[in-house]
Amino acid sequence: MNRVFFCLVLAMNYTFSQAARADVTAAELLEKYDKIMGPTQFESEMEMTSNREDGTSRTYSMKALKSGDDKFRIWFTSPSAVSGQEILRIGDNSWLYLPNLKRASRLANRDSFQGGDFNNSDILRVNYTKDFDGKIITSEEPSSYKLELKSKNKDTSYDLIHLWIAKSNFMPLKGEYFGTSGKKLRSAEFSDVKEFSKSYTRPAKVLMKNEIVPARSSILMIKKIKTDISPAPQKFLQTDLGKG
Amino acid sequence: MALKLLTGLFFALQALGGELAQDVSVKTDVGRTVTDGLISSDDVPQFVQTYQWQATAKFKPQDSTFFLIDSSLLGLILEDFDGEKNGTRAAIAKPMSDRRKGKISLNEIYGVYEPLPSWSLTLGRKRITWGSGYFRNPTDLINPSKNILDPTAARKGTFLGSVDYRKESSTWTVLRSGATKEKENGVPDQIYEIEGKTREMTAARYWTLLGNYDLSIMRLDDNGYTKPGVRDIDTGISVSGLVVDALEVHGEALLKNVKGQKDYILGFGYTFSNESTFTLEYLHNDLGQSASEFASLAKKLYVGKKLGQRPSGNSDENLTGKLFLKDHFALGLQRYKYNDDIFFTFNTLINPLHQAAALSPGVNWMARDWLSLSLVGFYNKSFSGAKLPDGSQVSEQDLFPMPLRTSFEIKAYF
Repeated sequence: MNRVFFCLVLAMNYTFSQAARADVTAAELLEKYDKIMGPTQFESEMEMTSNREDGTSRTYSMKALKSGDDKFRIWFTSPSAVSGQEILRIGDNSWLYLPNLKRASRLANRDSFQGGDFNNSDILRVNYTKDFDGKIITSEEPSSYKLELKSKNKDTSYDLIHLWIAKSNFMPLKGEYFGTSGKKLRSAEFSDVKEFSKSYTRPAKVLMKNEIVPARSSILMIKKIKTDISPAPQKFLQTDLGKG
Repeated sequence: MALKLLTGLFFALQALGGELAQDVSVKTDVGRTVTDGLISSDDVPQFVQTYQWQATAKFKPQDSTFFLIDSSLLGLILEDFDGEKNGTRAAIAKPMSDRRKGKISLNEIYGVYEPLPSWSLTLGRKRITWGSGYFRNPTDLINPSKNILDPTAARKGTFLGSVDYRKESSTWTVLRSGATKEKENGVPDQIYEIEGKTREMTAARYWTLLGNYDLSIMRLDDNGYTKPGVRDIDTGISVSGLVVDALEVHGEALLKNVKGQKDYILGFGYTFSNESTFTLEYLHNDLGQSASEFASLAKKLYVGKKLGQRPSGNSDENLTGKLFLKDHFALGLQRYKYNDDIFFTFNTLINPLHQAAALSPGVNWMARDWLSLSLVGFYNKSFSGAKLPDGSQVSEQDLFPMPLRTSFEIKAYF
């Protein structure tokens, strides 16, 4: 009797999980993730706090502007030591502009973002549809979809990502990020879901934990974000860096 | 008066809603001169204390308009001048005016106006760097030269007016500028002297991103590059790109129309997984000395010394730039991380002909997000050189009167 019941439960579980998978595809979930975490164009004010293993922390304030899938610009506004620094990304090219040198140096995607636990690509390159192949796998949590994303591009910082997305509103809940060796490098928690405008809601807080050095973590807070903008293409030229 | 005017401008911009970033620093340079070298050390202070207040104010009243002022107030104490008297080291007495100096340095003051998104007009004193070189920029004819062993040193700007026409992935720039030059006490901050104290330049540049490579092509019409008042139109080219994720290659060249002279650098930078960057550049300048020219110059300096007529290492502005050879390698390791706040740097300029190098190791500690401390050393070492009549050898590096120096700086940001 018990065996029959167990088989029934298994069959029902399988049926429900198939149904859950059938109502949305991995590609659709990735597209939704990209729309929430990296809308096609936006301007925002953000703050990143990196907590270091010695117990100290550093907070950076910045303004960001995004246009299309591959153009991103950041202006650092504080602390004073980094005020005036800028980052520009055009496709696979990223530059860091240092105001005292009046020069832009090329940045690698894998470099950490201002020494914190986010990589440059975590901030500048939110386009999972383009960079990863995804499939839905069984989630340990029935209220969420679990995606397994495999890198299809050598420029990504991670080889494999596990991403949990809420079934109710498609908001990302958490993520686990793995290197080519299979080692877990980072894990993220997405929280403080906030309606920034009538047409745009997203998690305002992303906590990125460093799994290599567990005492380290970084928090990215979105203070303001506007998606109904049309950025001028000239704002995404290397020759515009340093011009305010 | 100038100080009041500048302070007023800074606070006016801040009151209007602009951003103001300031720092104060105290830097102490201590070195030991060689008093019996071929170049006199009489004008080279062995102790220099620099007090600096620097402020940058930015103001953007509307999307199409931007103003920036970057200025420094400097106070200098210069002490401990040693020279040679009757064959022995002796202190050189200097008047107070040579030992205490103060100045206001207006590094940048400019406005940018964009009547249309594709057009941008810039007017004022501004620093620009068009080339991709790390240690040296051969195409940078208008900014004052910088110390090659300190790639992070700020440059002063020059007064200019420029117009940019910007398309989606390219920019045309036309620029008209004057020029300024400056050198630091005791340390040559340029490796090639260009005749003519003031120059003006009309320049045009086309910048574009070709795939993953950015390319600049320049025409530089410099009225005083070869001789003051003589028109000289040069071609500049600069390219850089990431070959793979962490390996960047770059090149920058100035092709002079006079006798086909070339001034170029070729190099690469590699970023390690700990985010430190190794940079290696080959530098060539046809204006530099050949081995025989250097040997002849060294001999002339030797004869001058015997006659008691040594040029000064500090006040003979035309000399230092003429000492350099045509070919060098520059090598640097930046931001080698000890921890999140402590970084090591190492820069060196290598003269392969004389198996000589100017070495500069350094350490920077970002003690707080508003406080940094740095310690940098400078040391010249050579293993061979041009032969002098007395049988000794002298390299390019041996000529500088201060082969050993350390610099300690405390800087607070607010």
